[in-house]
Amino acid sequence: MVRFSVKVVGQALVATLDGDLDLHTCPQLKDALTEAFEQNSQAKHLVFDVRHLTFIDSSGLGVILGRYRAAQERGGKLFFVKADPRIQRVLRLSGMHRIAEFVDSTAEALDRV
Amino acid sequence: MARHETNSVAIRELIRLAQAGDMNARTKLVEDNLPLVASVVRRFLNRGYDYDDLFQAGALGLLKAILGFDLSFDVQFSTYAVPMIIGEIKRWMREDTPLHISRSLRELAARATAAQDELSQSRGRKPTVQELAEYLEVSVEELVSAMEALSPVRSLSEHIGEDDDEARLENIIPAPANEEGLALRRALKSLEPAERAIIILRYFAEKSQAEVAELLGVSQAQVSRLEKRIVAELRHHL
Amino acid sequence: MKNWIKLEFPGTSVNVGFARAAIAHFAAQLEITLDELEDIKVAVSEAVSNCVVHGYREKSGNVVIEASYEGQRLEIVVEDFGHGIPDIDAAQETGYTTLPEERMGLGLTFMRECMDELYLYSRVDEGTKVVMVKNIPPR
Repeated sequence: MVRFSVKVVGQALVATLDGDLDLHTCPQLKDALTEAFEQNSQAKHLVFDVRHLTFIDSSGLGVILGRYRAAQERGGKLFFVKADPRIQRVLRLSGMHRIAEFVDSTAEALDRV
Repeated sequence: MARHETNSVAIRELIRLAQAGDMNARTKLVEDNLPLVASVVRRFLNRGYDYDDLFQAGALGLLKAILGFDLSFDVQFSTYAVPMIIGEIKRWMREDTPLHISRSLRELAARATAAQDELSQSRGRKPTVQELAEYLEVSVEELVSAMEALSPVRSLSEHIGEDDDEARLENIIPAPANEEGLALRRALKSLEPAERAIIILRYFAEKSQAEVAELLGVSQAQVSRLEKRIVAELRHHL
Repeated sequence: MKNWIKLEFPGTSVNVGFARAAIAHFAAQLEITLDELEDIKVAVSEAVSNCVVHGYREKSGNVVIEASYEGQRLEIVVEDFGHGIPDIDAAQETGYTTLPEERMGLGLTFMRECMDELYLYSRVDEGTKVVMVKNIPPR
């Protein structure tokens, strides 16, 4: 099960995730992110607040990567806020640490864009 | 608290406006008195109930107090509000549903993470689930279930402390590290109290639109409309 | 100590989370850490997701999971009776897009990283079986 919110803050899409992001739950997130991205042409950065994310696998990562590609085209960056060690491990396994920044707060991410 | 007493005339006027349907007045009253709710909630903390649930109930009590306060009586608003807040909290505790259980599971998960750190340090290796469960005084099954539970709704009071209103804004918005941050803070100060409350609740306390709507006693559609307009205004400022 | 369980359920996405939880609880019978449990959850999630996305796609069918342990050696077998994988080598190359074919590569990479041994068996139109082994060190 997953709960999430997606909002636009300046030039960033901030997605707060809560629960599990897997094959079953990631389509809703994908739709919400895609819609927010299309409706807000000034939004180019992606900030994922994952402090309450309890699980992620390649399906969840696929959605994030897909949106990151679109963000890249607009010249945007990718951030993960408060990824705990377990989540960080899975993110690093996929090489996310090479393309994303890990920060401690949304504010910090917004400062760095 | 002293601030409210010296401004009691101002408060009564706000209440009058709020009861007449002025949304700005209503949200300012709510915002100003959230520390009061937090202080009441503290009395109910060691009973195993989730802080956020208690706070939400208390905030509802506050709203009821604002709308129901009889201006013809010569009492301080806080004198009337506190029993209303307590009443609403107690009502919630009586009606508490099993959904409460999943929240304590998530708190167990948080305790488990902390416990894992502690035990790792003392043993020089990560603990097994059996060792963790024993340490936390729960069953292994509960512990494993806890790692899968969703988190409770986060608390507004994590961000809004019991300081004065002016200081509160400084607490919420991180110290501006640059021109943009300063501009943002200035822009926020230029907003109406109701507008600022919405921005603070949505972007800094990270409440959902539905939660903000409930807290301020308006519809979600209204929050959505207002938020769009305010963000557009802010962008214009910045 | 030894034990085993067998689960059978439809290959639909909603069951992926359930499979993770069930196997995690089973694995918790071993002297295992939360990190190792997380590895197992990821591996199971990937394996079952593969069955749903690749094994069954437009078809429907069941997924069978057999999990067993002897001492601290845990073995998990995930099987579907669907399409099978035409080119196993290509499937195991790691891809970074959301295309279904390349997603499988990333999923298998995760499974290999999270478990100690991984064996993949497949026949076109008959199905796919993945055997995963994790040796939990004694404490």
